[in-house]
Amino acid sequence: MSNNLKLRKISRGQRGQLFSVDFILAVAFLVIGLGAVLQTSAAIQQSSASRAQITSDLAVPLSQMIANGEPFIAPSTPYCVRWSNQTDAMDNPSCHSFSCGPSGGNIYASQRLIQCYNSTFVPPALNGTCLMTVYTCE
Amino acid sequence: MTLFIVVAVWAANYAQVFTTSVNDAAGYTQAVAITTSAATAVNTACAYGTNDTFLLPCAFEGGQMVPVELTLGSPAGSITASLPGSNVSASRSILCTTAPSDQIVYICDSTQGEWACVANQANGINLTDGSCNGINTTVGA
Repeated sequence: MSNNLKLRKISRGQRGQLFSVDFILAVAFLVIGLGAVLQTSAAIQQSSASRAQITSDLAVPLSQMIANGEPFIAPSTPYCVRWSNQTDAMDNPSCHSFSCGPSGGNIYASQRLIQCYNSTFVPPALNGTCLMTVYTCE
Repeated sequence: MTLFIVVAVWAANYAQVFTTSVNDAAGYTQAVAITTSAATAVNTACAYGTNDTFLLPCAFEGGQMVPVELTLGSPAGSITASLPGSNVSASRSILCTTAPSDQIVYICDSTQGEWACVANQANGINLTDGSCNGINTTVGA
């Protein structure tokens, strides 16, 4: 009788253990992994926010180099050169839809008055003085 | 007991990841500031054909000044500031040709910053530690 009772108690004790050690460890590692992923994501977002606050002056030296007729290395960021005479007839249509990415990044611009015939960016047919506007992204 | 160990491991891991991410973000912000300052000076010197002395920002980690690697023209058309201690870097575009494999490594002598010189040479723009001709003049934006 007492032997039967002892066996029953042991059996009930094993069934009463809700979570096995393996299960607890699996959940723990899942939580640790999830925490690491969330922290990394937060760090990336913080870096992106820092990047978005930096201003760009790339348009200024770029417009100056074009006005001087100097060769330059095309910047890795998008840019567009727009020219116009007084009637704006020779405007560069590709600049009309110029944008800095789908998220709408800031557009920077710099203007110079140039001799139209002296610039490789202006069609040969256009003479006189042109107002050149250089657009760049951050 | 097992649960306690698991929680302790998780807490230690969380603290380490959190501290690392904060340090990396701070390091990245400094790298961006340094490379922006250097790119502005280089592009100005390119555009106007001048030799300019400018002030590079210092980099800090844990309240101490740490070394900065500033690489010009590698990859082509860019300037890169790296903080080896934080394992972060940032790049900006430059518009002119540069001397090949031009790099300076500096630790600020004072919190004011580090003087550097950007000069127009025959083989392209050249970057050196210290002022041009011993004259310290900041580059106008």
